[in-house]
Amino acid sequence: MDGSEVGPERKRRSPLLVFGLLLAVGLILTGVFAPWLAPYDPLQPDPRVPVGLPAPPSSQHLLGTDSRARDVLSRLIHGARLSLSVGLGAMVLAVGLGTLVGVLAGYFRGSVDVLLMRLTDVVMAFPAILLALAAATVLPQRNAWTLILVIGLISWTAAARIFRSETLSLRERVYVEAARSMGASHGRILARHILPHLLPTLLVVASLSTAATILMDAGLSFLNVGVPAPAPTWGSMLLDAQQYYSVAPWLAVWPGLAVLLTVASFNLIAFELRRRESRGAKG
Amino acid sequence: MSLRMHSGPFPLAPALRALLLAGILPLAVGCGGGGESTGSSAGGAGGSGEQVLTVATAEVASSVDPAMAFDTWSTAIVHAVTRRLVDYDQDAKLIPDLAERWETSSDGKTYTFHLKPDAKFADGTPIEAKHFQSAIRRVQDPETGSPGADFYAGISEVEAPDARTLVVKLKAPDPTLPNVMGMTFAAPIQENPDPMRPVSSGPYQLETFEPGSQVVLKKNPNDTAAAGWVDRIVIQLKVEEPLQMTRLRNGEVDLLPGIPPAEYARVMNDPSEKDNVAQGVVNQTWYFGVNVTHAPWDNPRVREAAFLALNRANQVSVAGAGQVANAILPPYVPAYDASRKLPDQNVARAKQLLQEAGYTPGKKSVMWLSNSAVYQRRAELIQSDLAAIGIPVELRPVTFSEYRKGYRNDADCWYGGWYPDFPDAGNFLEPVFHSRNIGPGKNNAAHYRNPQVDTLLEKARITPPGDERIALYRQAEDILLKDLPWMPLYYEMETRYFRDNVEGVVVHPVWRQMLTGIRKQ
Repeated sequence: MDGSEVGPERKRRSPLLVFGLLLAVGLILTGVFAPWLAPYDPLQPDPRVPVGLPAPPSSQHLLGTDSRARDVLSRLIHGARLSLSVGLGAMVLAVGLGTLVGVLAGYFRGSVDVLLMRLTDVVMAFPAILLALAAATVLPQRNAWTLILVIGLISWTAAARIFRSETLSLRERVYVEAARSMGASHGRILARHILPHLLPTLLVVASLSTAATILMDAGLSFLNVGVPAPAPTWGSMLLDAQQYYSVAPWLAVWPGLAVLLTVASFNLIAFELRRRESRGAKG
Repeated sequence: MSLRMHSGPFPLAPALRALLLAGILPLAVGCGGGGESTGSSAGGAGGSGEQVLTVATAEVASSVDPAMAFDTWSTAIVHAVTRRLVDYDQDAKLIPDLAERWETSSDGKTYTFHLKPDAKFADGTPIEAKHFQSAIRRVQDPETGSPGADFYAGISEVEAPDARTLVVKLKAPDPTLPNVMGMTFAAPIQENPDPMRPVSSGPYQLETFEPGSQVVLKKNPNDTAAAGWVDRIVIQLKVEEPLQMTRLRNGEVDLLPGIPPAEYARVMNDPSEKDNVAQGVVNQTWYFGVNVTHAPWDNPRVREAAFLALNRANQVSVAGAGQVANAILPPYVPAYDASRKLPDQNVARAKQLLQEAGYTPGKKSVMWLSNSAVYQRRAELIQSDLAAIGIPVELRPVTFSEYRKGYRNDADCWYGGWYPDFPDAGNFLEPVFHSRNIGPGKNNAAHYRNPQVDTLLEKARITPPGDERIALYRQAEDILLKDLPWMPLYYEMETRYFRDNVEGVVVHPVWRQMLTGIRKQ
């Protein structure tokens, strides 16, 4: 998109957007550089720390250790890598699929629309977490890839609905009619006149969807059907902390905070982008 | 031949029970401050001066029929409402109960039990030899579909020549017959028993049985041993753990079979809770099992190195309770040797052994385990212990039923818990180490094949109880501990949690969950 067209008032920076972006970028960088950032191996116990009860934060272990004497900070940092890869991977799949379904349904309307939207309804009719649980349970092997698949294949419906209604209105625009009357093919109209105009919505949907997929990933790990142990997922750290909440309450705080901040950052970005866009549309 | 040792459903079912227990119990429930004793508790039954003990469990009791009861609570209930020919004391020693004494024929194939004179059912009917005869015939009858049928398959004939003499004839000598007669399956029954309402022969009798909801027992007035024990026992079934805790705090429940995970650490670290907890080691060995036909476990020196890499004390720390195992046999079988000592973790030596073995890290070994969080913690420690000496292991946490199938199906290695159906070394060792039990779905998942061990186990099986039998099983165990198809980790310890006014709660090494002998102030 051409930034130079943006009017002066829209140039005003929203501090919330900046905050959200900084946070998200920071988290992504943490994930990317996890092996260099983490002070310890997230899987190996520190032989100097006794196994048994979790140890509180100390100068050696800034966030303490878990019941198996593993450094919580290192697990948290590596957890960022896992959570974000699963979250972003599932988001790409979900948004991609959602866009495809939504655009095709909205553009072709008629029986294509009916078919695709009823399919969407069917998937939506099931509570997402139940579907994910069932899918994760029957998988022959659970790892980051299969989890991306499961979460992605469940989370595309919202995107499909949004893109369908956007496409429905876009296809009636004058320039689309003009292109059609000049004999442009469906493919050309979709690629040149519909998809580019979906981009602002796409950014919002992607951001929202990332927040949702990360939350679902954490939820599945908490239910013990995420990436299996000993992978340092935030959800499994929460699950582990549950047993010790009365003697080591801090153990639940760190992964909880990590999930909260991550989800909040992507939601903030989505929220701010949408606000700007609606303001832009009015202006 | 004692059929129970074959790979029939038997060793599997108790193992299932054991593992379920182990998954749930180290986690059970804790209470607020122990609080005010309310004297008698709510729970459906009451009455002036009557003492009611209310127990809550997340599990169910599927049957109160002696021929059918096999899960933890069904067995505990049948145990409380029956007496058998023999019983076990708190050290798991076999003691006479309804049988005064018994003798064995010289060929070991005939047992004659002499019954006590004045034992009575709760309805006043004298307990006679024919009642044991009916019980065994009923369990043996395929129509009954008893899960205990295999235990009694070696019995060719049961005779009751007079009211106080019971003669049991065997197809082959089996010195563990008295143990088999001590199982709840062999409790005496009257003719045409009502499976929902068996007539009691024990200290308690069944008052109401609502499967999946509640069971109420009341004292049997004809059984004098129960004097001083609580008058009624209410067992609330299917009570989720967090709710158990709330009910105990509110005084609605007096006794819990364990402490829930979220409260365990707090309760055990609170000195004021000391008198509200009973713990005891039971006959169950937790171990790391390997398939000796799969690399790298096919190399005995790699196995030895792996064992030296393991920190068994850490297993206990993370499990919360337990006793480090220095043998494969659990503490309450007669052949258990308390003087055994296995080497402690020695990473340097383990690495050296690996080097001598010419070990190079290959494909990751897949370790099967049940996917409960408690299980996983312990398995993760094994994984990191082995990683520290350079043996890569991948965890395969699956549902319990998948696990049971999976590890018996040519797995690389697994995290296991095993316990005998009754305190006998043969019952424990033979299913899992005799080469006859190698095969898909069979119990010798280690694929361990050692003719010497086979011979020792076969010889010990027909040797009458005593030093010679013990020596044979110990020899077999010596070899196993050298070969290490199983690396023993620790013995299971169970925990009960109860209110201040409850007394006499024990963890029994054989019966585990026991409802008898409990008093209330």
